[in-house]
Amino acid sequence: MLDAKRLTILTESAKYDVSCSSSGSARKNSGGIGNASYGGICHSFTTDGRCISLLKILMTNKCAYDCLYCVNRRSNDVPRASATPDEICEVTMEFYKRNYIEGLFLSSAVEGNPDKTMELLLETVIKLRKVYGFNGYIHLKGIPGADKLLLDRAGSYVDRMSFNIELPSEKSLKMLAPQKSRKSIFLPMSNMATEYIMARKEKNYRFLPAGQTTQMIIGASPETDGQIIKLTEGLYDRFKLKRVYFSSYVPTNYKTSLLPTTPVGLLREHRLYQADWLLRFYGFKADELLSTDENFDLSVDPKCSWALKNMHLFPVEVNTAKPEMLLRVPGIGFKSASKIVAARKYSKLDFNDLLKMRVVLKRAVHFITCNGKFCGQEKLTAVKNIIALSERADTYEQISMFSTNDITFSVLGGEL
Amino acid sequence: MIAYKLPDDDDAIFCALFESFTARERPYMVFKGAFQLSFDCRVKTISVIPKNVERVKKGIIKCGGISLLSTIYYALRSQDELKETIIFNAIYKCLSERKNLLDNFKDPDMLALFDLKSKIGNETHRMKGFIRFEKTASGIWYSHFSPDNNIVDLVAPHFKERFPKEKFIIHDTRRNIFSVYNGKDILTFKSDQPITIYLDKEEIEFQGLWQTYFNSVNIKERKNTRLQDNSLPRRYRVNMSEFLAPLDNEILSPNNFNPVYLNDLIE
Repeated sequence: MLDAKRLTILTESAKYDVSCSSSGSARKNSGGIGNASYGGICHSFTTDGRCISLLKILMTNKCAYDCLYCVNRRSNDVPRASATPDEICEVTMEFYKRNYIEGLFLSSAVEGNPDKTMELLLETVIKLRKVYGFNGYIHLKGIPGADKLLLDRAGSYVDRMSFNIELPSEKSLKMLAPQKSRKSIFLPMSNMATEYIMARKEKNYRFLPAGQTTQMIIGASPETDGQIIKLTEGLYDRFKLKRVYFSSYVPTNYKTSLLPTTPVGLLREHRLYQADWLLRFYGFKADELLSTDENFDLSVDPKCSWALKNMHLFPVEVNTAKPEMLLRVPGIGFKSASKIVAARKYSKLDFNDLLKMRVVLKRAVHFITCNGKFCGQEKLTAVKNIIALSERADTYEQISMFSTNDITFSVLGGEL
Repeated sequence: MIAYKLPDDDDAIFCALFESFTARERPYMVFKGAFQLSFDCRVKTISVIPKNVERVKKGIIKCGGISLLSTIYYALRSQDELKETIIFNAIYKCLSERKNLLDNFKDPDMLALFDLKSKIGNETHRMKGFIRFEKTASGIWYSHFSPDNNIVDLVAPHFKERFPKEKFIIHDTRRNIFSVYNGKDILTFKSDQPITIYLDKEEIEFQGLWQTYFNSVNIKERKNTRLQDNSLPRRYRVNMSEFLAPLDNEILSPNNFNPVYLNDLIE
């Protein structure tokens, strides 16, 4: 039985993995216990505002690698622990029956070599499915460098797998995680993608129903947002990934000059996620958003800065515009767009109607017309200033949070 | 001005519509129970007449299909004290124009009904995650929650699919409505009898582990309670073990004593 102390150590080491979703799989209950909900379900929320959906835990945090950015690196002085497959299965089952979690997110530090680690992960997963009869969601971390057969086998038991690319470029990887290489990460990813595409064509072959995801650390290395977005798009296109997660760097290592000592603002991470949404759901291409030597403007969101660069496409007439063009208007998302499209069948809409429907006009007003009427600012700089100002009011809490962080760090560094 | 007072019956809303169309009048308020009305308001008490209920239902199906009719029953689950008025206004317009106007969001009445429905839907989804089961001494899983809307029978089927072999009880403590799954079917009923639950002793251990997990998965450097409050409103937390004090031995049963009523419920 896993005790509280080891559970703490193994969770503390796993929590920096940002992936939390339990979506994408509609596994039906076929005997045993549990099923998966296609849209995913959040079971609780911690004080950092993140959701708990899966039991996120490491098999062990005893690591053979020494990646500079990672809390579990070999040279770091932290308490170490490990759990057995049965212990993991037991906690998962008991938590699941009490409806604390939607399933298991299992990962591990590399103890010994990749094959040995992957074997242990696989053993746990198979046990959970076959012996414990667990039929809920499983997200398994793939260990780069492990044997293809092991990985393929795991893919047929779990719902989702992920290989973390860790850093956005080969150069940074070489510098900060010398034992990992780009190839060792991309190779299993692409193998899994091939298998995944094949499984979609066959009827009774279940392989990663919820696909693959990956994660990279933002701000530990010098890549621009443009490069990151381009890479993200490539991952979606080439490897058919379901999600790319970004994790802004939290300092865990003060002994090296290769890493920044202050945390990277959450705002940058937020802008990247906004751009990621534009790529996945709004039909944008990376090239439209940024060129590879640019960063996102932190004062306005990516959709808005795209619109400001493409003013020749605006204003858009709300009553006649195509839905996909409505979606490109800053401030109009899926909910607003579908409400507009439904309501305009009945009669023409004016600005008042939009307000009544609670379409947020703060940004949109500068990019739309209602029955030919325009109520926004025409000058580009004016538009930008107004929007940036109103954004600042919204993010006040976030900014104040960073400043307290700065204070903490200056206290630590003896400046205060 | 006129207001309609309805008896405590889901079908009363149909009789209100019938009355309004036959008397050619438009009530400014339709309500159940006690309500603060303006002083120049005349109150008409509506009674349920099955013949009229059927007639109005037929009319509603004719102009908006069965989905329009089920929308009414769905919206009646709301806890909003204006729900009868909101439903009445929206359906009145659909009936007088003889078509389903529910997605005409420009119309405040339709938007109000849409909001009512979304609140119910959102809460149902949330509760699939926020409900906590506790193992009782008799092995039946017990859960108590206090949702804003009357959704216990919407939530229960989700758990039936998930735990087909377990027996469970979901208890809406605000309305004293129970959804009980006995391993075959779900039964939903109201019961005002006070109940006592004896928990299995495993509960101390696993609730403790869960609290440990909940606290250690949090990243302290990124505190953001406003986001937490938006995603998990405080009023729900009184029923969720991670926000409560650790269990102690007092709540455990003396030697597997099975409370009779629990088994009664499941039978």
